[in-house]
Amino acid sequence: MSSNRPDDADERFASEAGRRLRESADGLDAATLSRLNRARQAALAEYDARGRPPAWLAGGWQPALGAAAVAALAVALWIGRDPATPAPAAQEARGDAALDLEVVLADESLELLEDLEFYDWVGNEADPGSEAGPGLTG
Amino acid sequence: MPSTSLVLSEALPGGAPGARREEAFLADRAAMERFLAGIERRAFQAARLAVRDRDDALDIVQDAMLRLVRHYSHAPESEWPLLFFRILKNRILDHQRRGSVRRRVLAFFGAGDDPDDDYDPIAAAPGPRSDAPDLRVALDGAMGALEQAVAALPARQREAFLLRTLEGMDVAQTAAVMGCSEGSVKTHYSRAVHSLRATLGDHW
Repeated sequence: MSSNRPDDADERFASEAGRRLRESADGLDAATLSRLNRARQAALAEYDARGRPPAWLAGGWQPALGAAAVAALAVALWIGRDPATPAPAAQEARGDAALDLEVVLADESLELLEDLEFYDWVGNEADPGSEAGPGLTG
Repeated sequence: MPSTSLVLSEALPGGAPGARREEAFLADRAAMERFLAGIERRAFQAARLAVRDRDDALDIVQDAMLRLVRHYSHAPESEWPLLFFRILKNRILDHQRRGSVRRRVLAFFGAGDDPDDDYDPIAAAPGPRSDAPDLRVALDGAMGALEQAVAALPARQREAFLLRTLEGMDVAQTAAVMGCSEGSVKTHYSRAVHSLRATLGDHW
């Protein structure tokens, strides 16, 4: 016989313990039962929000809506394609975006962000269209 | 092209597909409500014995209910008990882990070195439904002693014991909830029973 096999006394004890624990659970105070009820209602509200079919589905419109959605998707894909844009240009644009991201994530850019107003001012002053360089206008 | 019988069947008494879907939804919702109402008290009992705090236990039960609905409401109804208690077990574990981390952080910053520093006798006074172990024992006698002894069990033993005795799950179901082998369940359960019998000898 396995040492894990409970004997009759163990079984009686466990059975009695289970009975008392269930009785205790059934005899919870009103405040606790109220909280449990609110918890259940919150869960059911979540159920309603996630599971209830939309009202517009109640009229048997699903086949027509499905066909319309497929047609709309096909039209959108057809119109959305741009044959004038060559693939290398698109790749270049993606490369620029990656470079921008790298610059933004570089350590130096954090310092730049801290003095953003200052560098903005420097950039404006260094613009050839500006009337004077930094520090010359007083 | 749907068959004529299919088209006719949708026009027969019983309503449009949308109406039948609504009926099915309401039936499923009622089943979920029955399940949650039937399980909430025992779930709270199990959580309270594990975390030893009424409010935390209520929060854990509510979180488990929400997660069941959110992730598994479309699972077969027969699987809800196992899924729910699996979620509940994980929420209890998360709560205990967070408590452990919080204690370590407080200890690191020197807080909690002297528990008497912030002792407030009024705040610490037990209320009419306090979970203070000594009062519970005095109030409830053998029941309080049982709850105290179950709460003091190692986590895996307590899980196995409560799932078997409080929930009435068999070994295979308990193993599914605990995520271990049936042999491990038998071992944890057996040790729990022996430990409780040794602890409660005077009360039982």
